Amino acid sequence: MNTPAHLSRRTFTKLGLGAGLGWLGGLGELPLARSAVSPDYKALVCIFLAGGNDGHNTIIPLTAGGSPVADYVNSRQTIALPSTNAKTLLPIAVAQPNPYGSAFGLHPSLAKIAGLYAAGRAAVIANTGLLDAPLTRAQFQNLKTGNSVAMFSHSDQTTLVQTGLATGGDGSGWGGRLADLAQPVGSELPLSSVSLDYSSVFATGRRVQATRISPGNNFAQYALGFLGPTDPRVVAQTNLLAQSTQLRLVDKANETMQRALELNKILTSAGTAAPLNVFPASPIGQQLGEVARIIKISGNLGLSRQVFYCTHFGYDTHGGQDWAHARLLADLDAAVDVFQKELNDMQAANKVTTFTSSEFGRTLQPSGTGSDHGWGGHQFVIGGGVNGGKFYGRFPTLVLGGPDDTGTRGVLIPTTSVAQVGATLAAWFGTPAAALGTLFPNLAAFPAEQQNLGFML
Amino acid sequence: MAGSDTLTSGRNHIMTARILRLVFISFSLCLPGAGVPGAAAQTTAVVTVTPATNNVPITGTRQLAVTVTGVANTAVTWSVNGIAGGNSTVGTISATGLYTAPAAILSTGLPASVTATSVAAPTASGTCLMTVRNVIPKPAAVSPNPVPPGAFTLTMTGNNFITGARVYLASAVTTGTGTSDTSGQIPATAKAKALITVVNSSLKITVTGTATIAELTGASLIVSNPGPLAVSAPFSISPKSGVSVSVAPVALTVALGGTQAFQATVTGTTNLAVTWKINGLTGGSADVGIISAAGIFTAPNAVPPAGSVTIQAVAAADPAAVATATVTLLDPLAVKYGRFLEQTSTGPTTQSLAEVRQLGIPTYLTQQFTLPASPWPDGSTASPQQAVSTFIYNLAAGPDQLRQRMIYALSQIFVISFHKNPAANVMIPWLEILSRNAFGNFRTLLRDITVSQSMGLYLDLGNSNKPTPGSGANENYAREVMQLFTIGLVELNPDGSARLDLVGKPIPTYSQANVMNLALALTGWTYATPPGTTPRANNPAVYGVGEMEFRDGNHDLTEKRLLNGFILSSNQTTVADLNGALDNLFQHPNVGPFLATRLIRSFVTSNPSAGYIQRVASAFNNDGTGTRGNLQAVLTAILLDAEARNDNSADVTQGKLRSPLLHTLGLLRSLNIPIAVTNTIASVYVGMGEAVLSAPSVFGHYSPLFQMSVPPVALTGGGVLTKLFAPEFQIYTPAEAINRANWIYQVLSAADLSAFTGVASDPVLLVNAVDRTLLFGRMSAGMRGTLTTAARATPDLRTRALTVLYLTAMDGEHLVQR
Repeated sequence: MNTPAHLSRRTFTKLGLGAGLGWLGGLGELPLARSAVSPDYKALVCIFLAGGNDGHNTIIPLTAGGSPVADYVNSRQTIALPSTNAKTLLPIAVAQPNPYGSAFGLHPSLAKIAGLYAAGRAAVIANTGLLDAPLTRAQFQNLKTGNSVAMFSHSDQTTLVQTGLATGGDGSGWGGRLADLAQPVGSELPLSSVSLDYSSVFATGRRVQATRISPGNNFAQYALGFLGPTDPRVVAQTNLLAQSTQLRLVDKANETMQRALELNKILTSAGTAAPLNVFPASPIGQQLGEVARIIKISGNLGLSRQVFYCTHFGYDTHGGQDWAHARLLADLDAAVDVFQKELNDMQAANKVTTFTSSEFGRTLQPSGTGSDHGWGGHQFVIGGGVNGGKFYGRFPTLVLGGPDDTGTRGVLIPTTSVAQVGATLAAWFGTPAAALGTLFPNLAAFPAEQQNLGFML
Repeated sequence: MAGSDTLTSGRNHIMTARILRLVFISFSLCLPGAGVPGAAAQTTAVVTVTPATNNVPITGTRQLAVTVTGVANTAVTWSVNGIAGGNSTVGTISATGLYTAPAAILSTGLPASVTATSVAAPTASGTCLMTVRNVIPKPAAVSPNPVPPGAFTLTMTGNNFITGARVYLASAVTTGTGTSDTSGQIPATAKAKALITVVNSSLKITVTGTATIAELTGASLIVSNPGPLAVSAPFSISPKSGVSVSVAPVALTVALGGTQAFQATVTGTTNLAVTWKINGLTGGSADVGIISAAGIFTAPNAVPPAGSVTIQAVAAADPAAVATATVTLLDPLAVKYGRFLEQTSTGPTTQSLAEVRQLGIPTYLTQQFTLPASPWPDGSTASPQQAVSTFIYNLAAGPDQLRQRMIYALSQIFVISFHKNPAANVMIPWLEILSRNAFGNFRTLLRDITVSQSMGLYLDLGNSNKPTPGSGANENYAREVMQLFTIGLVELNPDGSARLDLVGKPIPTYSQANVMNLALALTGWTYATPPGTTPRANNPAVYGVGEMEFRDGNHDLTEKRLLNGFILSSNQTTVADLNGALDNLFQHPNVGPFLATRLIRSFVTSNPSAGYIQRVASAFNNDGTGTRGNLQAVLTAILLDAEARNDNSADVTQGKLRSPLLHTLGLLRSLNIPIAVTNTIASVYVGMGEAVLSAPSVFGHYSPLFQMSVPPVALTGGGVLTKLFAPEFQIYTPAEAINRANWIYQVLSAADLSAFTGVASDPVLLVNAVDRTLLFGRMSAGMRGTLTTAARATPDLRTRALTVLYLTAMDGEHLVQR
């Protein structure tokens, strides 16, 4: 790991933020105008497609003639694309061997991501999901119980996929564990791990607690937030929070509020760093705008590694999938597009890698106008550091009851584990090879040559 | 010479030598006949102006009289300093002799010569020497007085102070500038000592100087405004004696009826005696406490309105030498009952405090165990919103507070969530199970939750059938009932610590094989059959009334190997396997310490001692009548344990962070803010990390095992502790802290705070009222001082009360229940 922890620590202490103490130096010392990331800065941004994205309708194998392959049409039936709300699939080229040749199409809503793919800045991870060891259809059917607890349960799978382990491990998220590795013990910096959602297993480490932020919410305190620093009420609060009773829990509670007020100052200062591009008003657009804003002040905070977690809600498309999915992917596409432009304008495109994740994929077989909870699904990895324009992992056979199906409805067994995806990203982030096994305890269950999928440059 | 006498005697005694000299010249001009030798031969006209001398304040008037003798025509013309009729600089004189002084004293420092000249004999004139003076300064108070000998700085307040005024110290032995001063501002006769004078305003003067005790003895301060004749009356001051007194301790808290020795130290005299006073009363009184001649303070039996008293030690050698100490009075019963109610209810109210005072703790507890349970709405017709609102309402306002607190605790151990199953017909039956089993037996509770349709739906035991190809028995409930509901991951000692194997490693309680076997033992349960429909092998989860039904046809018939070598033999029924499996869990030695640890953390403290856990665990194992799993006995053991009832713990690890619900609802109770059964406040808890009845997973909103690094705590037996259990801190990160603070501020802003604004004019009374309400009088001295200062600096009384309440409600001292 190439994190200049000592430098970061020193910078941090200079700002008066050391050891969770008060904001001593004030903002006068912050070189606000600079607003740059540190030279070796790296950030991971997880966009969680909550509800279970239908990867089968996100990335579609095509015939040479440009229409979806027969397996796809036969399995998906009423929800197969093209459709009313998804008329023209966006062709992308795939050189990697797979059952369906070199022609694939992206959902029509994903024009910008298709452009990023063509430019080599986006890659596809095929059929990935929560899996602790490689598993075949035969093995699955001989199991007396499912591979992970509470398969198909949103809440459980959301938690588990973010821990990176089907058994849940110790409950920490793998993004948070990455942040742990980048932060010196006992001096974890605020904003080293940031969640834009309240549910933040991914960003919660064993030591680092995710800082939860809502777009535009600067931790403003209604009661005293608008008073000057010399107002007697503000002075009283500052004094109270600095007093020690020696009672450990009492002091810790005050320390937490103190940190909130510090974060308020940090984020208020970031507020002056206006975005260079206009982010969409959609929730995911606003979340990514906030991520960009925080990346912009990372240098000022002495942070050279950051982990972010965003949630894009609404992917549980049991019914009315055609319209809903088109709208969701359009929001995602527009938000990712502006985010990448912003990173380009900040000269940070190579330093920030964004990836999508979901608690599970969906059944190939439709139910009415939608689909049910599945397992494996396709995901994107996006950024200047991505060896893009390619597919990674084995693309599955889209046949009901086929070799990749757990049963008969097209609940596909993942062919690539979230642990392999995470380990590849963690290696790029700077995690030493020896630490990857700690980060993903089940990584060793996968063949050595597949523990790093190679999608990062 | 009469004229000369008049002039001299008419002079103010402070007139300077310079003026004397100049007046002497004027005096010669004032003589009748102008005093020119030989002039008497030319005329007999004589002009006389009376009075011959006078003084007048600036802008004041004086009527002068004139007589002319020796000529028939007695007409005169008037002039001032030779200017006919005068002007605005020297003053004006009317034809009838009315002199009007100018707006400022004369810059020459001399009196104005107001002259009447005979028209008939222009060489004959008479003059009045009119001194224009500033207003007389009027000192009213000097501080400090007595004045400390040596260098001093004094503040003088009064009226009529003018820029340029000077202050003099005059006593029998002062040897000041005396008559050599020519400013016209020094007493002529006194050897007054000039002090450095700064006129701050017409009402205030600051003087600095040095003086010996002798100089200060019988001394006066004299203030002189610029110009002549503007000198104050002497203001008496006295010297401060060299005697001083100090007292120790100067600030402390004493319980009602308690005693405290005070030590007074007198210096600067051989008389070391002091007189003790409380709130100004020598020896004190029953209301404020009494203090003996030896300085032994005995606190009163009731807290006086101010919440504190002031003790004074007055030196016998000098009554002005006084030292003070502040004693904050603590009502130990307020702490005793306040703490008890924080542990047994959602927080004390005025009413519940009175009730428990009257009944005593044991009787109050018995009463709580027997009160009827607060009702829930009908699950089949209620909305999820109603379920949440009622849950909040019962917790905040139900008379069966202990039961509600237990339901809250149980709902955090046995979690189901709207997050997964957003239906009231799932949640309300669940809450009813927790409510009716709150003081019952754990074995019954375990059975009820296992066959509950709500749990069946939440952890997928409903329709978990015996294995078929491609479909296994669902492990979800089997795993969680062990990990989260009964025994946990590792084997425990009776005191809650982990049992270790021969190499010092914790021993897992179960294996994956145990999970699979338990899952098989629990197969065969399906959801209730709705009335009027045909029972199916696997009913859908649509009818929320009643328990799950068993289907032996769906039950696995193989042998199951459970915990500690226990085996369920093959071919047993669904019900027999359930009972056997649950007995196997219930009898596991982990259950007592497992449950004791969680309940103590929920009710009393995050870091109970091993002994406390063990005492509660043994109450679980045997309630005294040989019964295992009696939850009422467990609760009694938790709440009456010496560790829970220790109101004076010095343990720095004590207490637990209030959860968002207990904190905010407790605050409403403390401040008598009502809440409706139809309340819609649930949404505010999302931002505080405790979405009501909507935990993100079966792990709840926070883990009872969550730990936090803290500054090292030395352990009695040696070694240090660097981590503490702190479950609620898992949802008290900066974001939730600010959201909690903001909601509390909104609540306080809209609340009736008259109980506090009514006393807010006195910051001390206000802080004491807030202390009594939210901290039972245990506010630390540092916090008290900070809040009093802030209150004093906040003039608006409502803002003042709001600020003290808000800062206290969000301070760690209140945030942590201890």
